[in-house]
Formats: sequence, C-alpha cells, structure tokens
Amino acid sequence: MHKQRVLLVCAKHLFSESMEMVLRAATGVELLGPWAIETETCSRISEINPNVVIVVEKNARDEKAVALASAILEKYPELPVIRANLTENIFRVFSMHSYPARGMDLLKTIRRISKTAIPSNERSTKNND
Amino acid sequence: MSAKPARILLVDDHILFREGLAGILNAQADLQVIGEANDGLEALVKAQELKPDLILMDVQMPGMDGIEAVRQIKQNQPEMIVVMLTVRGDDELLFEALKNGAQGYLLKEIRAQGLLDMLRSALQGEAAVSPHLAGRVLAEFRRLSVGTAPEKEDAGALTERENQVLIQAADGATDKEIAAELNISLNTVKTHVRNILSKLHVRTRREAAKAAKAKGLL
Repeated sequence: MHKQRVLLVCAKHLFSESMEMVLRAATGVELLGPWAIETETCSRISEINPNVVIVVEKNARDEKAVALASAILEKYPELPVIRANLTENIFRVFSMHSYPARGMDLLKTIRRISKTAIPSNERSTKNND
Repeated sequence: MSAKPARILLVDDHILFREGLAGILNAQADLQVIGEANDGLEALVKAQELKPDLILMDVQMPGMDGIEAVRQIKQNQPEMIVVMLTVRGDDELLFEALKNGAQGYLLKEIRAQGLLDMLRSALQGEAAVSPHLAGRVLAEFRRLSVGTAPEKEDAGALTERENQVLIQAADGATDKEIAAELNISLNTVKTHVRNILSKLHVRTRREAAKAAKAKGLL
C-alpha cells in the first residue's frame, strides 16, 4: 500500500508529541521527522521528498512557524502545508496550484475552491448581530 | 500480577490534541484513559459516572471552563484528583485553580515524559505543578505570609491614644488624672486601659508599664 510521506515540523512540546502519536498510529502514513522549526528546514525538504508537511505552531501568531510555512509554499508550490496549533480547534490547509491561464480552467477552479455563498437575507441578519 | 492502571478522564475541547494525548497515556502500562469530555459540564457528568482516579483538565473551554468545573467536582467528590493542563500560565488562573482544589497545574509546553512523571506524582498525592509555576506559587505564598505578619504584630501594638494613656499610667497617674490630662472621659480611659492590658497580655497597670518598656513602646 502506498504510504503518504508526512513531514512533521514542530517545537518539542506536548501538542507536537500528541500529533506524532496520532500520525504514528495511522495506517497509510509514513511519518518523517519531527524536525525543528528552523530556517534551514525549508531547504532540507527536497532531500526527503514528503507528500505533505505539517507545521505545528505554539499558537496562531507563532511568527517563526508562519514564516516557515510561507517559505515552504514559496519554494515548493505543489507541496501542501498543514498548520495546526493548540489555541484553535482547527487545522489549516495551504497549497498552491498552477494552471494554464485559460478562462475554462479559471472558472473550473473558481467553482472548486469558492466558499459557500451566504444567502442575502442571512447576510443582512448576520450584519445586524 | 501487576496493579490496575490508574483510570484517567481527559477533558479538553481540542479534539486532535486530546486524541494524541489519549494515545500517549494509553501507551503506558500504569495509565488508562477511561473517558473524554469536551468541556467542563461534560466533565462533571463523566466524573460522576466513571469515577476516575484522576481528571486531566484543560482550563479554557467553551461553556463551563476548567476552573469552575474543578470547583464543582471537588465540591461533589472531594477525593478526586484534578490536574489542570493548559496553554496559559497566568497567575490569576493558576491560583484560582489551586484554590478550587486542583492538585496540579501544568502547561502544555511540557514534554510527554514530564507530564507522565507529574501525573504519577499526583496519583501518589503529590502536587503536580510546572517548575516555573511552582516558583510563582512559592512567591505568592511568601507574599501572603509577609502580608499577614505585620497584621499579627499590629494586633499587639498600641494605638497612639493607648500609648498616651500608658505613659500616664506608668507615671502613676490615676484614671481621673489621665482623663483630665488627655481631655477624655473616665469611661474612655477605662476602655483604653482594658485594651492595653489585653494587648500586652498583662493583668495590672504596673505589669503593662513593664511590658511596654521591655517592648520599647515607652
């Protein structure tokens, strides 16, 4: 079975160790790392060729982690980056994709990635909150 | 035969974190996660239902937070061991949690091994507090101790008026003479004398004068 090579990048603390535990227990995942959040991390990624990178942040404003995630996206546009932190009960997925600059592809992409539109009556209610 | 593993209830609204933490705890032979809760209210219910040996509780959660939950749990089940596990190390939350009965207060920046050691200590009845928070607890304890000490001293100290009365009494003045000298009523003098005797733990004016001199009050 083909395993997804997942690189875990994080500072050493309980949350990253918890993530590591979840990923190690998962079938179909080959865990790489964990690597520290450092500037050199970005340049070393090509050596191990992961399918996904997970950056575990201290919080949503962890500048070092955000900078690293951005650098990875910049350097490896096709490599998805997942950002997770302890202060939010969500994880964020970032990926950059390149498509031919044709109207058809642009419209297809818009349809695929657009957020669900909020009906106008609900929008006005929300504005009154 | 090995002892039964300690039964742990995990309370945290961060599902991914809770999932991983449960994995870390369940990988230990002496620890077992028997339940999970998403907030303080669910923790109250599960604590009653499952009767765990230890509750590992987040502080900030939607609805009922961990601080209120630990208060209510300790009220209903005083024997329950509750250890807080949080990202926030604010003094206010730390002291409130400990005051409400938490046996420990750990920060999530702790490493897994550190957490396991702390939980085992807590199960033995020891306090489980992150080292740098422990320093703050001691500092607060010292501050409170220093804050209360002068109060105790004050209880034995004489007021300015009592000092004036005592000086007169030590010179052999009668209550009437003191009243006239200080321009106060006789009853007021008697009240001051009673208070002086009580504060200096003596029975007579002469003893009071002696005690006051010994303490440097005169």
